[in-house]
Amino acid sequence: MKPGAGDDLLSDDDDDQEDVDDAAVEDSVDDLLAGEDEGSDESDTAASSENNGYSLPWIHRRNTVKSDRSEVIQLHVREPTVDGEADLHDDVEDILDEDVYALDLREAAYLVAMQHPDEVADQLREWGYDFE
Amino acid sequence: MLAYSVYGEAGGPGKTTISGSLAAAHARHDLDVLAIDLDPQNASLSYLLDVDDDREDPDVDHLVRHLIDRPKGSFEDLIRTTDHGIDIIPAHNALSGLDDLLDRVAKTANDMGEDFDPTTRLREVLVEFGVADRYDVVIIDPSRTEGAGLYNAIAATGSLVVPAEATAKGKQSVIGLEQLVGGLEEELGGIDVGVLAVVPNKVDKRSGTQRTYLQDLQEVAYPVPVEIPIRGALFDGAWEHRCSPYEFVEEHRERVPDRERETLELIDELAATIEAEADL
Repeated sequence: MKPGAGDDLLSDDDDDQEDVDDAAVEDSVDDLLAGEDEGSDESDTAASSENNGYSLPWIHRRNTVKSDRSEVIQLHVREPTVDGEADLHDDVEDILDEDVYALDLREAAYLVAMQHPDEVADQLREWGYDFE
Repeated sequence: MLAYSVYGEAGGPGKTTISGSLAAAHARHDLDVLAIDLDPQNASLSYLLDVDDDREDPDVDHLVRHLIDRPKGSFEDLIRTTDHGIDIIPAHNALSGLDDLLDRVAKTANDMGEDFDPTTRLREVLVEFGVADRYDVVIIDPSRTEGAGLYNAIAATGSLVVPAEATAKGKQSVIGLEQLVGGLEEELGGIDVGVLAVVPNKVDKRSGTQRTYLQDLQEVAYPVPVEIPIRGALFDGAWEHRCSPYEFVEEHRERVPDRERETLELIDELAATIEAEADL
């Protein structure tokens, strides 16, 4: 949010950002249709028929970044953590070579941490847990 | 063109009253105003401006039908004009099911490989209607709760006027709003949502604690051009007679107290400040 007027969204010219998103969606649908053609030569599996034959990865299937994300976890963090997230965001976007939603980044980072309880415990020790 | 939604967290202190008052103030500045009522509750802008007679009729065409791409008529025919020259798209009871309806249509469209974004539908129908060429000001009174009605409002207007209480909740509600809007900005592909004004409402200058909270609100990073004092009689009178507070004092008050005249001048100043942001 910023002070003053926001973007003018009701004038006739579409903004570029949306065009890019639309194109991305159409591409993913094209990929999906192409994939489905290849797949249909093989036998129909139960899993694919549940999905009407479509099995797009989650981020291409959902309507919005909040789809399926009904739970909200509020995080209170210290300032270095915010900067650290920005650095991680840049690094991950460099690796993937595409824009990543902050919500996706955070949930992915959280899931990865769940696979590394020892390192999470080390971090907590640094903060003074397990202090004899 | 100037477009904004009037929304604040914490129950929206005076959200609809401020929407209706600002719509009237802009119209008095000779601007063409379109108000859009997206609040499914009965005490909404359509009630205040006395255009809510069709809200329960299942057979009429209404905005929700256009948002889910099943219109019964032209978009233009949705617009009513109040006795005082404000164009308004009234609320309909179908708004209470808007989230479900949009989700269902989105799912069907998705299955068919079609593009349907349930958050930007209002923007799309307004752009298709050519709203920017027809009106100077668009004001949306969104639903009080988070959901499609609120998201569509913000995704269409891009700007907000934020009523806030001069209480401990006031500053927190602005901070809560920042989180909500931040997520939405990202979801909409990085748009910038602007805050035209934070409007402390129901302010009692004699209250010491309120003065502290008002200072808190002044410290938020957004413009706070005016503070609207507590004016029960003026605003209750407007609701009772179903008109803006301007018409209430002109048509239903024999003698207008100075304090009410001053409050109307404050609303006028607020409207003018907001208009200046859009170079109107």
